[in-house]
Amino acid sequence: MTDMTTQIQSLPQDGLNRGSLRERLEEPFMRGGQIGLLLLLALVFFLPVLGTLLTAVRTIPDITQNGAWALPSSYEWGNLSHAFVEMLPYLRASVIITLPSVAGTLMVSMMAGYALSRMRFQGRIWMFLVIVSLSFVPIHTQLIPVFRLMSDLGLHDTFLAQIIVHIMRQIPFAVLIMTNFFNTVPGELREAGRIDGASEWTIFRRIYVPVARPALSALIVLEFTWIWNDLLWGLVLTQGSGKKPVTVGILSFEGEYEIAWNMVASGAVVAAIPTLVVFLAFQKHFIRGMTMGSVKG
Amino acid sequence: MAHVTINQVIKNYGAVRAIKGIDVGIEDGEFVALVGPSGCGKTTLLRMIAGLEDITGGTIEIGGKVVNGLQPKARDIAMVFQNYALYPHMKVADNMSFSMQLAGASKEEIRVKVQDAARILNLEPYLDRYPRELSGGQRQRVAMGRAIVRNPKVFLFDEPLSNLDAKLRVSMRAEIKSLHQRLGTTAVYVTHDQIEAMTMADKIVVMSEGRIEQVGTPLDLYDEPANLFVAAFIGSPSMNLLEGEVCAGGVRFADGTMLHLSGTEGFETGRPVIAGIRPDTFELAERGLAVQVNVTEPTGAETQVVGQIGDTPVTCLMRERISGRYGDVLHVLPHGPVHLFDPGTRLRLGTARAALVN
Repeated sequence: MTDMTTQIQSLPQDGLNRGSLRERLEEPFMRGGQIGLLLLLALVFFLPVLGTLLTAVRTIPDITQNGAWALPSSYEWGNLSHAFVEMLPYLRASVIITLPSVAGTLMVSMMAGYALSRMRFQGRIWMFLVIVSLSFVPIHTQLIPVFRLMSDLGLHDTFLAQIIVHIMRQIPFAVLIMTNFFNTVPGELREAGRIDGASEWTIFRRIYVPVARPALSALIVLEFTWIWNDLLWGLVLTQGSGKKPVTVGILSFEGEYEIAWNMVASGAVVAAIPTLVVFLAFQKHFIRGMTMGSVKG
Repeated sequence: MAHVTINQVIKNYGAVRAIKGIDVGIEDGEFVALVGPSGCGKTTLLRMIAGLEDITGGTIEIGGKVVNGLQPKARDIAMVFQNYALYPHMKVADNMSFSMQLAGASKEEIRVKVQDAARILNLEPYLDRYPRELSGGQRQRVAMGRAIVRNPKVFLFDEPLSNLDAKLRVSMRAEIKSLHQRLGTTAVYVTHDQIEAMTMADKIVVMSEGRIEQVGTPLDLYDEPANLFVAAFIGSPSMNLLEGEVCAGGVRFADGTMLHLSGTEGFETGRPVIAGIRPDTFELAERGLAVQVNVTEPTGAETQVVGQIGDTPVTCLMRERISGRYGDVLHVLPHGPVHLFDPGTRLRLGTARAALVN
């Protein structure tokens, strides 16, 4: 009985709303298209990674005979552990360079961002513009001056030189992010802090830094990846093998007459693992940091 | 507890003078509302008392001590912000005790004070929560708890209820008032809502464009507004202001109607005046002022008639249930005071009462 009535009721509707049929088809079609496109993009971005992974676990004759894309004739997992052992000094150097660089960048950018966003002083806007515009200076114009500067300072082939340069290069972006983040934090928090008896430093340290945790997580992931993956400064500012980062270390598998592609790939895989770990560790905050401005409205 | 004395205070923002020389005396334990339209300088004045804004000229005293040069923390005040300004990463208990932690109070002392404040504000179950886990009204109470814990000489409120919905606002209004009566601390309360000011304050300071228009108890302001601004600002719906001139035995309005008044004898005939009549004083009459009805808005207990006398829009609040339509004419007479103002100086001239109407 109820079936009958619903049928009768729905009949004329179908006749009237022919457009709705198309709309109903359109939705899954569009959705399918979107997913397909995303899958395609994901595949395109994953292919080089796949190639590297495949290359990393095969032998040199296998590579020369079958090319990079065939499945390995034998899986040489030993390549990875061999590469890891070979790369240990470089990994150590990268850690010594990257951690202080990230920490230094964050320290400077948090304080600068707080001051530029919250304190009113003469030339504030100009200072902000100058700092941010420094990121537009092409890196290539800085190579020779920075090299000579570090030589003159007696810092050539030291970790310190690389740390200083990384912090210098990363400050503009990090300051931009932190300033904009602190701009979204209500100014009343600072005033409430002042009334509660907090000094400017206490307000920064105990109110604004904890509130900035999502933005900090996002910055840590980005800065860690960028500094860890740097090749150029590692090449320019070092001489001996002791101070070179992993990115340069991968090149050590290039012999004079031949390149051990499987070891280069293994080295790349080993070098990529720390950035992956950092990303996974901060991933939740990272996503929140990226969407923060939009959610707050 | 302390009295607050504001003496010839001036505030400049660049070339703009936001506060133009203000004098207010606030007694010990008094609840004072600073009220006025937005941009009148009331919040600036409050922030100057708090020490968040510099004072360009004049002095502010708290408890007999000039505080012009003192940092906010040295002024012994507590402030409740419009958006609460709770520290989002701290639990309720830490939010309330942050000032004590900074001052180096002992854990035991902090615990006792936080418990006391939480009990007063019914916040005991929420001490372990973060601000984001609380409703708007609870956050508001935490903000007040933060102020209470400090046991300050003066409470400063900056439109604390304007982020709450209408119903909660009314109940929080009563809560703040009873809290003030229990604690007896001097309070300065900024609001743009004259009903809030009327219902809560011992004394109201009406401000406009950086000046004080009038200072007095809520009923003083209602019964004897010093000028047209206060007359129109205090009371809801606001006072009807009708232009006319003094004639023998009353006032004649622009449309020719005459209102017989007692109390206009002192004024010379032909003197232009503005007559202010509260909407709720009108009563239906056989003959009287002719109101052309635009709409009637029944609210049950009363009916609000929006119309015009001549070309002047008027509002009448009638006890009777009137079902007038557009174009109908009602005859009404004011049964309360008729306030007379000078159209030039906009100051109050006096009060008259309606007699008979011709």
